[in-house]
Amino acid sequence: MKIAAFFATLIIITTLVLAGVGLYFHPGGGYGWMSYIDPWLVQIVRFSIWQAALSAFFAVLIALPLAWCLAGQAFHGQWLVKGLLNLFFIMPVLTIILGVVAAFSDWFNVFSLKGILLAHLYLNVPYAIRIFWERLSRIAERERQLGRTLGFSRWHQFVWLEWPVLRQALKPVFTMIFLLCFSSFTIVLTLGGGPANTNLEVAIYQALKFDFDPQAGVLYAVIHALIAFGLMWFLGRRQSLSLELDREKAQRTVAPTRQQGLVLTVMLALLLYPLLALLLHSLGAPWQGSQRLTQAIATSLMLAFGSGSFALLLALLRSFSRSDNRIMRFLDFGLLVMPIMVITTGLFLLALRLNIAFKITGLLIIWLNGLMAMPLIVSPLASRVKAFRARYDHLALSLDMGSWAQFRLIYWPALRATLPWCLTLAIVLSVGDLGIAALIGSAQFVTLPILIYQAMGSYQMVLASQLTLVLLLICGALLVAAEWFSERNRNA
Amino acid sequence: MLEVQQLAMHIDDQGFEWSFALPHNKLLAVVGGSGIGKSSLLNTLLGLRPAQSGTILWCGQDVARLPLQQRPFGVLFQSHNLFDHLSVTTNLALGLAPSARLNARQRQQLAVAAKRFQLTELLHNRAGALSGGQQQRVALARVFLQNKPVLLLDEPFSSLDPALRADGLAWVKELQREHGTTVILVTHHLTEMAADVDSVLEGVSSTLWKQYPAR
Amino acid sequence: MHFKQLVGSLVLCCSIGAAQAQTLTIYTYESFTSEWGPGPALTEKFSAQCQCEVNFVGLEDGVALLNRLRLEGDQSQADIILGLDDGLMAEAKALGLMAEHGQDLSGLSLPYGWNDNQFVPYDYGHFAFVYDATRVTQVPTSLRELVQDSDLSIIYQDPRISTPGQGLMLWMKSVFGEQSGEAWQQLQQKTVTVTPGWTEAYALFREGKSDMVLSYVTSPAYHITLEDIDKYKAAEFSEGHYVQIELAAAVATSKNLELAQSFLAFLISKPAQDVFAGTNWMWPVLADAEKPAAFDQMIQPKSLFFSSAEVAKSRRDWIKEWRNAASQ
Repeated sequence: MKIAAFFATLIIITTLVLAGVGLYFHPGGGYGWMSYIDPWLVQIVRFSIWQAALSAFFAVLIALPLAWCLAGQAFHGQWLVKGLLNLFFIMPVLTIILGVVAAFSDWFNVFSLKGILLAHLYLNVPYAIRIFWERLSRIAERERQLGRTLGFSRWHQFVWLEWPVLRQALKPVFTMIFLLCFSSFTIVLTLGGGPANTNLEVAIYQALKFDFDPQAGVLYAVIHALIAFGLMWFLGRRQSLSLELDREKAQRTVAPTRQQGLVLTVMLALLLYPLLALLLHSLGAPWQGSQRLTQAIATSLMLAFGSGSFALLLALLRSFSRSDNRIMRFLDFGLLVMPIMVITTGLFLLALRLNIAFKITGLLIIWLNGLMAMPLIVSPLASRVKAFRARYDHLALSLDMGSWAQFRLIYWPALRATLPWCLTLAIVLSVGDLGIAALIGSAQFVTLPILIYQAMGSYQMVLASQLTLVLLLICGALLVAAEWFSERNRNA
Repeated sequence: MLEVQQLAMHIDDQGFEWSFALPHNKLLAVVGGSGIGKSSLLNTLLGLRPAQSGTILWCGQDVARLPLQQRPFGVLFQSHNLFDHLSVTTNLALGLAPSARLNARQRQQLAVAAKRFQLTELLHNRAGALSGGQQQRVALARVFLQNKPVLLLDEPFSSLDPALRADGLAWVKELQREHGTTVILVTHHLTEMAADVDSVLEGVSSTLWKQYPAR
Repeated sequence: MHFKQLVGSLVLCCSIGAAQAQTLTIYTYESFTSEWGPGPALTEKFSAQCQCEVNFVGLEDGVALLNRLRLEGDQSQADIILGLDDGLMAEAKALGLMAEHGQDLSGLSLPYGWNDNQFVPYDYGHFAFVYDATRVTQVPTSLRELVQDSDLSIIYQDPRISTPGQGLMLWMKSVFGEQSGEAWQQLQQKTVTVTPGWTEAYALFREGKSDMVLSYVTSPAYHITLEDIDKYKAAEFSEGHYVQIELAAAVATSKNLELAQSFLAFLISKPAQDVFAGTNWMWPVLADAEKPAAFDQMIQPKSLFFSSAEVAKSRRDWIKEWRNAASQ
């Protein structure tokens, strides 16, 4: 078991090392390091931090009251609402972007900081609401009863029970959203609207793609990493946030209160509006299938399936790790927030050096997307492994069960039900990737997100909307399939 | 005098009904098999569960329709009597006022109670960090401060060792003596406290309860 | 045995078939390959001529072509690179990837004395700011006036990716020289947005998001010819307009080098040149090529240009200068 976990870590470290090697031998411009310190650099660092801080601040500000209201009492159909909120977090980013463009571009210029903030809010507020809601639900009924026997009014319930819980979750949620927005690539790339609105991640991409200057890329990447890791240290004082998207436990539900009803209506309207706008927008012109489109979809699905499987394998291996120290957590979450652009380029340059670049493009994409998706599916697996290990470890040892037997008889049955869900999650997360494929895909190489980006670039917004809808439908189909599999497994 | 007349309550498919009488300042032990309705009785008296019918007469007044805060009952649960994340002081203060804001007189009451229950050194600790016995003392101190006429105890000492259990019971008796509190106590260890019990309510079935004097 | 024979003959057929149907892969910029661009017409004409397949691969905009070339190096799958301009030529040549074209360029009509042994020019155009004459009345008469005095809003393209954007950068440089930094800052005040490519900029302009857009002197000809609208006009600037010659070259490591070189010859022949004016809306390099009537109404400004070597030397610094100003 230990070897298995170590193997996963080894893969991660190998990736980093290989990327480093590739970058070291880069055929770059050979410019002096100091030439990169200019007002531009200052501006992008400032912008990176500013847009992330604003996004996180408003996300938390909006999510808190909404979550508080929704957690007030368990209401009928709340599993549906929770599912919708989860959806926004795993939906491909391009869907949110195109949705925002379709829905709001008539009201203000979405290709600006406002647009970036809005897209970030759509991406992160549902997540924040879920976390706060979850934490509030965990307040034991017992505690509430105790409060009532002490004469608590609603206000007192809030002050003594709910606020401490919320306050505890505030810092991790804010930090998490900040980090995600700080490293945000696709949103800033497509909605930036000009060089003033560039963050470090996009600057790396541009340095590599436009200037062919890996050195600049490395510099920006180092700065990015320093800030990101600094923040993660700040977060790491306690357990990092579990991104577990769990099944709903059975609860007694009642009809929603008037307050809840109002909040629900407003929230659902706001969340569904961009999706509806996207749908309407894409009906603006007749559907044009093309061979290129079919090819793109096929490529996207194949790559996504590959990445998903790889991510699942890695996550499985990682979940057996016994060590829970900070370094391990860094490695896991670090992959989420590390500038993937630099790692991608390093590996690609190495491949170029070895003259195998174009033959392994697909493999590289699978590898990197897999690494990126892994952190998000490790939690549910790891927590199950941990629980079962706590329960049965001593028993297994006392019966002298070998590692393989343990896996086969104890852990596999436990994990089997979650696997389809995790795999699908990883696939959905990979299928919408733009950055990696755009950076290293050869000219003949098309994926669905690339097609969407190209459509946006040549301002064929209706086409872009249509393609995005296809992407969304594919993801939806995958998720439904996963649900169906899980249900089958549960009843099996 | 506490008189409960055909107090009926329903959860899911189970129905309960209780009738008994308990004079002022006496201790009633509630016993019976598990699931028979001992805790449900306390919850219904308290007001945590709504009663379908019946009356609860306290000094002649029916309190069954009153909201929780206005009833004369204080409670000690089996567990989770304290807010783990709050300090001992705050937990005690909440017994006096739900805002935990105390006037000078209340602050003095708190200090006295703390001294009495040997909590003065622990006042600033987080309640969750205390040992089982210490938590019990804090809970009792709070109940003491709350000073409700009737005290409901739902096996509050069952998770503690016999020595601590005896201590707890001793404190309860002191409360009875000092404040004239009427006590209803759910327990599995009737024999341990036989000497202190005045009356016993035994659950034969969830709708049939027999009351008889202890000695 | 039977099966082996079948497979064998199948393989034979396929390889013969493959040898006959050659494919010419041409990397170019996005709008070239669209339905309204020159791509389709050229494909039709050349494939009829050569009995081969022509595959245009559209990549972002001009400068991206250069970077793609850099990235792919000698492993590139392209036979021809089409869409770089004279500004980028030196940098492209420095990569040492292009083959000699072996054509005679002396008979071509070009805006200035330009020549090269690897690159073949196929059209050229002067950059200009285009405006809607029914909406804009105070049209600046010089670049200086636009930058310093005018209140009009503009949209232009990113010089790092797009050749028109790069053109503006070189234009500003040739007019303002050392004071370009300040000039950019002044221009930034009037800039609505900077887009990655020409298509988006023009679309936003037509939606009314800005008063002027950076495009070509010949853009109005498109509207007159195809839409019967003459309200779009190009502003003529007294200092002159920066000019761009678009180029194509064959990749030395191409597996179809002869075919590629014959395509280059085709590019400067009349059949191909007839296509450019009406689809790419630029001036063809062959003087007697067909042009839409509207071309006669277009302004013929003075040409500003830098030598390719100069651009290669300073492009990076000039971009940084632009970047610093445009990001404030």
